[in-house]
Amino acid sequence: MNIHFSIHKFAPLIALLLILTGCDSTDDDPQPSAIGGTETVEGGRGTDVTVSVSLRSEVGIQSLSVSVNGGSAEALPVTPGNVNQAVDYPFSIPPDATVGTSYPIVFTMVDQDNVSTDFNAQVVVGTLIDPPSTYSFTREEASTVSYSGQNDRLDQLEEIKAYLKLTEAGESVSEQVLLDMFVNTGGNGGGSFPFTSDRQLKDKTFAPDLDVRLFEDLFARAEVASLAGSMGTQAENGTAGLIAREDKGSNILVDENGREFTELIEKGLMGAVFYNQIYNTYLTDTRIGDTVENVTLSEGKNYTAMEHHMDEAFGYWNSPVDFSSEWPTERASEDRFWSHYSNVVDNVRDGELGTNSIIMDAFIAARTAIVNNDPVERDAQVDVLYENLDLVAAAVAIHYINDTLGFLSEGKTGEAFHVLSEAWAFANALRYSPRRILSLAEIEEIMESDFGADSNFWNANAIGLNKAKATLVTAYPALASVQDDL
Amino acid sequence: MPRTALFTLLLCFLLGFGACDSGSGMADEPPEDDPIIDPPPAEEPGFKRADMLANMGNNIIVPSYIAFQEEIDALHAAGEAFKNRQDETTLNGLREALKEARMAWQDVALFQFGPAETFALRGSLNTYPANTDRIEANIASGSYVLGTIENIAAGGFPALAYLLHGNGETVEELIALFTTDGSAASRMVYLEDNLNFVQESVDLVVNRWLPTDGNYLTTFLSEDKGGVDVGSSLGEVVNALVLHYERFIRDGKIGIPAGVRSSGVPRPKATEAFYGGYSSELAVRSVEALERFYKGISLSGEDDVGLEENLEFLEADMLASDIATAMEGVIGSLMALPDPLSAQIESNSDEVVTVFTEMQQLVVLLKADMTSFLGVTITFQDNDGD
Repeated sequence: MNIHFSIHKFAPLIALLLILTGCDSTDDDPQPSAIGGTETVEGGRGTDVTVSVSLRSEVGIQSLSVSVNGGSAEALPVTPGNVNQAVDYPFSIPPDATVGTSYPIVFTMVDQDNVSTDFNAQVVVGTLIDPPSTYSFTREEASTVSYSGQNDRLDQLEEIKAYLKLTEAGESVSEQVLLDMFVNTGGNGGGSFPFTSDRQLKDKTFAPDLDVRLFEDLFARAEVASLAGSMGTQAENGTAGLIAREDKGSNILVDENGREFTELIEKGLMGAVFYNQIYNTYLTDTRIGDTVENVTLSEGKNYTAMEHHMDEAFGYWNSPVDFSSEWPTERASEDRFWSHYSNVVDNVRDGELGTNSIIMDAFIAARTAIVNNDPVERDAQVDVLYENLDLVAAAVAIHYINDTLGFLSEGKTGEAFHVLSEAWAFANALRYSPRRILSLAEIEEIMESDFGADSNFWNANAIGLNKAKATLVTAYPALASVQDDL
Repeated sequence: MPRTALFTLLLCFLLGFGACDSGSGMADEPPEDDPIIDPPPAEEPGFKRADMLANMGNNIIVPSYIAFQEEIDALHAAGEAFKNRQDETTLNGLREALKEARMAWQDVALFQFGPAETFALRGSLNTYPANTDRIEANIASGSYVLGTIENIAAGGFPALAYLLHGNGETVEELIALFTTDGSAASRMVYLEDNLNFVQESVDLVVNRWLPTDGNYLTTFLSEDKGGVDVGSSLGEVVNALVLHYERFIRDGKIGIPAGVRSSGVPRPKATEAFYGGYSSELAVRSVEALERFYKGISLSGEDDVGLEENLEFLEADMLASDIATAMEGVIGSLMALPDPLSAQIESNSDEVVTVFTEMQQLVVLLKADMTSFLGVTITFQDNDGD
C-alpha cells in the first residue's frame, strides 16, 4: 500500500515565513541562510511519506544532506547557487514499524560561504486505519477476516447438543457416538454431522479436563443414564434418570446427583473449548505477541498470522460482525454460544453491564491495533477482553443461580436442576482464564459444595445458592448493583 | 373572562377536574409568568407514589410478616406442648395452630420478592403436594437436611399437615404413631425438626425487613427504588402479586388440583391442604389478602392509598373498579367451593374448573391492563424455553 503523505497544507505558512524574511532584505547585511519545513510527518507502517523542506540562502545554496536515525549523511540533489529551493524527501516507513516509533531526520544545508545549517524533522509512525464500526477488515479491498475453523467447531457443538437432547424424549444415547462427534471421526463426526470438516473439538479442549476425562466420563455416564431413562427410570437422589421440567412439560436426563447431562456437556465445552482457546491460545503472546508475524501474509492468504489469530479468538465469540448492546430481539438468533449469553446479561437494569458492546469494541480495536502494528493498544484491548469475557461467565452464573432460587421458591425440582446445571457450567467456565479472579478452590467450592453438598444438586438449598452468589459478587464488584436483576 | 377564572379553569383541567371545585377561589392574582409547566404526575396533590409505597410497606407488608411470624411462634409453642404430652387436646391445639399459621401465610405469600425471594421462602414453607414417600424415608433413615431440593416437598406446612392429620388414621391411631409406634421417636424428631425449620426460615426473611437485621423496609421505601422501572419497589411488588395470583392461586390452589394441567385428569391430592381439609378456606384468604393489598387496606383495617387509588389517579377509574369487582367475584366463587376441596374435585371437578376459568379474567386485568397503566414491566417469564 502506498499512501502518500504530503504536507502541502503547510506550504503557504513556509512561503509566508520566507516572504517575511525576504522583506527584511532591504538591510545591507545578508540574512543568514535558513532551512525550514514540517517538523513532524506522520504515516502508517509500510507507507511512503514525504518530508518537505525549504532552503534559502542569499549567498547561494551549496549542498544538502540528510541523516536518518543518526545514520551516515546522504547527499540530496540541489542546484548550487540557488537562493531558494524546495526539496521533497521521500521516506518509506518500515512495514514492521510499531505505532509511536519516531525516526529523527536531520537535514544539513551548506551554503556557498561554507556555513552549514541544520533542520531537525521526524517521521512518526501513526495508524493506518481507525477502528471500523463492524468486525470487518480488508486488504486490497478483499476481506482479511477468516474463522471458518471456529464456525465448524461451534456447528459441531450444536450437533452434540441436539443429539443429547434426544434423551429428553426417552431415547438412549451412545458413548461411542458422542466420542466420534467429539473427535470428529471421519470428518463427519462418525456420520452424525450433516457436514464435513477437518476440525475437531477434542484437540482444542482444556488439557487438564482431558487429563481427568471430564467430558469422556460424562459421555459414558450419559449412555448408562439414558438407557435407564429409556426404560422409564425416574431420577432420584442417587439414581440417574429422567425428571420432568414442571414448566416446560418435557423431561431432562440427569445423573445420580441431579446434574443434567446436556447442559454439563454443552455448556461445559463452551468453556473448555471456546473460552479456553480464546484465553489460553489466541490472546496469548504465542499467538498475538510481538514476535508473531504481522508483516508478511500467510502463504496463500490475505492475512498475517497475528491478524488471523485475533480473528480466531473472535470466531470463538462468534457474534454477528455488527453485534452491539441493546441487540434487537428480531436478530436474537444470530448470536451463538458466548455472544448469546453476553446478550442475556447485556441489558439488565437498562444496560448497566453492556457487555455486548464492550467486548465487541475491544475485539475490533484489538484487531485494528494489529493492522496498525500498535502493540500497546492491542495489549490494552486484550486486557479488556480477558476482564469482560470472564465477567460474562460470572454474570450468567449469577443469572442461573437466581433462576434456581426462583424455581426453589416455586418448588420445581426439574426446572431447578436444569438451571442449576447451567449455573454449574458457567461457574466452571471461570476456571479457564489465566487471569481468573477466584482461585480454583473457590470455584470448586461454588460448584461442588454451594450448589449442593457433596457435589449433589439434591442437597442444594437457598443458603448455599446465596453463598455462591455472594462469592461471585464479591469477586466481581461490577455485578453488585445488578445481582438481583440478572 | 377574568384572568383568575381562566387560571382556575386551567388548574382544574391540569388536576383532572376532580381535585378542585370551581368557585373555591383557588388563588389570588397569579404572579406574572407563573410557570404552570406539567409537574410530574406523582407530585400532584391527592396521590403520591411514595405515599402508596409507604402504606404498602409500613402498614401492610411488614405488619403482615410480623403477624405471620407470631403465628409461627404460636405453632412452635403448640409443637412444644405436643412434644411434652401427646393427647387429643395437644394434637388439636397443634393442628389449629398449623391452620392459623397457614392462614397467616396467605397474607404474606403475595410478597415473595426481596428477602423472601432471596431465601426462596415459598418453596421452603409451602411446596405441595407433600412427598410422603420422602417424608417416611427421612423418618426411617433419620438422615436428612430440610430445605434442600431433595426435601423441598418433605418439609414445611404440607409435611406438617401430613404428620399431624395423617392419611385416614383416627386421632388415636395418629397419636400412636408419635407414642407407641416403632418409629415414634424419630417421627417426633422429624416433626420437631420441621417446626424448627419453618421457624428459622420465617425468622430469616421477616428479620431482614426489620431495622435490626437487613432493614429491607428502608430499601423498599428508598428514593432509588421509587420509580416504576425494572427493579423498582412498585415493579417488584406488582410482579410478585401478579405471579402469585396467576401461578400460585389460580393454578396452584385451583387449576392444577382440578386437572387443568393434566389433560383434565383431576389431582385431588395436589390441593394445598389435602391432609388438613381446608384448601378452599386458604384460597379465599389468599384472594382477600390480595384485595386488601390492592385497595391499600392495612392489616388493622384502615383504608389508605393503594394500587386502586393509583389507577384512579391515572384516570383508569373503570379498570380500578373492574379489578375490585373481579376480586369480589373470585372470592365469592371460591367461597362457594366447599371444603374439603379434594372431595369436591373428586365428586365434581367441573365446578372447580369453572371457577378456574372465572379466575382468568382477573389475570388479564392485573397482568395486562393494570401493569400497562402503571407503567410496570412484567419480568417473570411464562413457561420459558431454554
